[in-house]
Amino acid sequence: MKTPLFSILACATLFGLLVVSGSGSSVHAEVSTSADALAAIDELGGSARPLSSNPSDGWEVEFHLRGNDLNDAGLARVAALDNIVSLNLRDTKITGGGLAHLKGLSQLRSLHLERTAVDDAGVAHLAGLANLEYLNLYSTNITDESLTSLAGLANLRRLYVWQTGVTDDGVARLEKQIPKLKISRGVDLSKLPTYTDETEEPKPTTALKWIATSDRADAPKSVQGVNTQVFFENASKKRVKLYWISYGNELTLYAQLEPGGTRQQNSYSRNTWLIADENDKPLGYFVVGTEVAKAVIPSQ
Amino acid sequence: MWDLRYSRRDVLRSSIGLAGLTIPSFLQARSLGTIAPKAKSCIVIYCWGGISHYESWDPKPDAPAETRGEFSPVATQTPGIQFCEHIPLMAQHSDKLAVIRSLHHGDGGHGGAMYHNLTGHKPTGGKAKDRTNWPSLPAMIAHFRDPGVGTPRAIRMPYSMYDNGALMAGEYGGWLGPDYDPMLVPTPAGKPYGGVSRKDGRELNLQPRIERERLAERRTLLERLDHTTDNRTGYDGLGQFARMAADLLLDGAVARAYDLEREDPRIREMYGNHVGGQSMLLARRLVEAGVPVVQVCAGAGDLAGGSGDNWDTHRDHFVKMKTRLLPVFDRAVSALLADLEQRGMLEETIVAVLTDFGRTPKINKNGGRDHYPNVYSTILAGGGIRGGQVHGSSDKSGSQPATGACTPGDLHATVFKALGIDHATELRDEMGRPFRICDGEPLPLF
Repeated sequence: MKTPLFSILACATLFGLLVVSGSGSSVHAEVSTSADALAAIDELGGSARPLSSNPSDGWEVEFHLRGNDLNDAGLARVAALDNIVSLNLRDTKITGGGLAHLKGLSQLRSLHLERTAVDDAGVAHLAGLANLEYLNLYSTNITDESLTSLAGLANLRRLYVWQTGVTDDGVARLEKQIPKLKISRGVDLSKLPTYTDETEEPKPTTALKWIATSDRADAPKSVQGVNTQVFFENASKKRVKLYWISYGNELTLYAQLEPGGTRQQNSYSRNTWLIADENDKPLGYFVVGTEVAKAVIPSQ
Repeated sequence: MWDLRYSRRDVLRSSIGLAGLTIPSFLQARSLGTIAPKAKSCIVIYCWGGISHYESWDPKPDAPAETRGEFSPVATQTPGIQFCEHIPLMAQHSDKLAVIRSLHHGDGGHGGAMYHNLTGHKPTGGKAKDRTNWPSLPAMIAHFRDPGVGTPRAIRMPYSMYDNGALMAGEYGGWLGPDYDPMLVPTPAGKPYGGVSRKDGRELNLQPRIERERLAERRTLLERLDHTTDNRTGYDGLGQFARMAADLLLDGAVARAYDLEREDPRIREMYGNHVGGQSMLLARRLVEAGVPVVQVCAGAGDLAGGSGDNWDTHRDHFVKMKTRLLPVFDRAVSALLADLEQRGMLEETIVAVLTDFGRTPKINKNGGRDHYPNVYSTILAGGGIRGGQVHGSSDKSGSQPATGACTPGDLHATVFKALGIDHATELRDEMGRPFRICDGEPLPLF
């Protein structure tokens, strides 16, 4: 069931847009065409925002976050909006054929077509958009042929062609034709440098002393110290439990170690780690020092 | 009956969302708040603890040895600009960076310094979550950006900033109210920073299944909202909705952005398999999904006396910087810049690195550098900021600003300008008291 709330909001949307569009223009026909297009944009899931408080400065229209189902037929309705300055169609279902609807958008300065099915035949429709400054075509089906189509766009300053079929030659040619244009090729993921592992792991420089006891009361509670690491290693033939004795002398279970099992443990110096068997019978404990250390649980 | 699947889609689809629950407030939003901005989003990277200006963007190779330190400078992509040799990848992106070498303030402690750098205002001494505190930069930006229902206004990760177990003030919504507290999310991948990083409350619950109870609760909320087109003015309905955004995250674009498994493994590798790199990657993905502002803490969450992987390098400064801190940071920030650029996002995204302060000119007896607010450096990129430039300078020994002295407030004003937000805007708190959002002036970096 469609709820009253949405009906009210739908009316409010239309009303709001009319107020905004109407305030800058007295031509009623224009207002109503724009209102139709704005209603279509809303219906199709997109959004339209005026670039400034003066709507004659143009509109920014977006479908990239909500409204990804937009297709070529929908785009035809969207393009009826007068004075679109910025259009974002990223991740929508438009194709190269749909770009024919953009031919009349003479005010368009910024166009996002990345991650769509746009191809060379589609980009050819953009050749007349003389005010275009920003064009994003990354991850589309274009090749150098598209770059040839764009050669007449003297105002183009930014072009994005990462993950497409364009070549060094095509890019060099277009850069010559539009000297102020910056073409972004992106990172070649097949040629990423081999990074060395950036952090050196701390290595134990000493071994903690194993103090065997079956009496929990023998093990002192932890005292505040400085941060360090302990590398536990279970050299016994049994599974053991690793408990931290808190500053309040309570036990906190941190891990169970299988025979031969190891564990790197963040700790603080003067902290106590109690080792117990599976039935929580204490076997012994370690008191941590300031150095990164190994703590080997011996065979019983 | 209300069908939740449809309701959610309708809510998400509506470009005005449910933010304006009454027609007057809706119209107000239309005419004031929805004008297309220049830079649309912001990524704040915070180097908790205070990154040394010497061992990053302001090396002093000609200073005496006790100041110069162990490292050498490296040439960048930009003639005349040198960085520390241990950020060689970032040096290749200097054409995208505005380096600021003349920041200064008077707070020598972490808490006050972080508050000052993250809110742009001098500390008032309040507790971490006091509602009289100034909002953080991300919270303030969130106030001017309504991403629509279902998308959080501001996200921070991977943890909160603590000093020796005490939560610090400065990261929250302050007097803007709890709806502007940036949502804390953990980073779901990567090798952790060494040292202590505490988990704390209000962490977003990102479990993929919605329990029956919460579903029922959400339905009640929606039904209540259905009857909210009454005469209430203002945005009092919004609180509930902001909270619900967390639920909507579970099956929306933001939830997909959060799933790093969907990312090309080669891109993940480029950022580095460390929580530092994966957080930057997540920041890019969240911004891409429509989150207006994301803050990344680039270091362990608790300074814990400078003992873990954080920038508070009182001891063994050079070893920590070289082997643990700078490599992760260099790779992560460089990957972020390259990735934003190749997707055509950098122009619409301002990236700001913030930190507490610089480090002392004199290397101490423990091989460390101590707190130094008299002068420090940082970088800005994207959002219309011109790359390949340096603003201001420190003197020969890196002890004080020589030219272009500026403050955290000036840095904030610059970020606001990039986002098309008037830094002189006056806002009122819940008591109606007026506050000018920023006391600084934009730096000439555009």
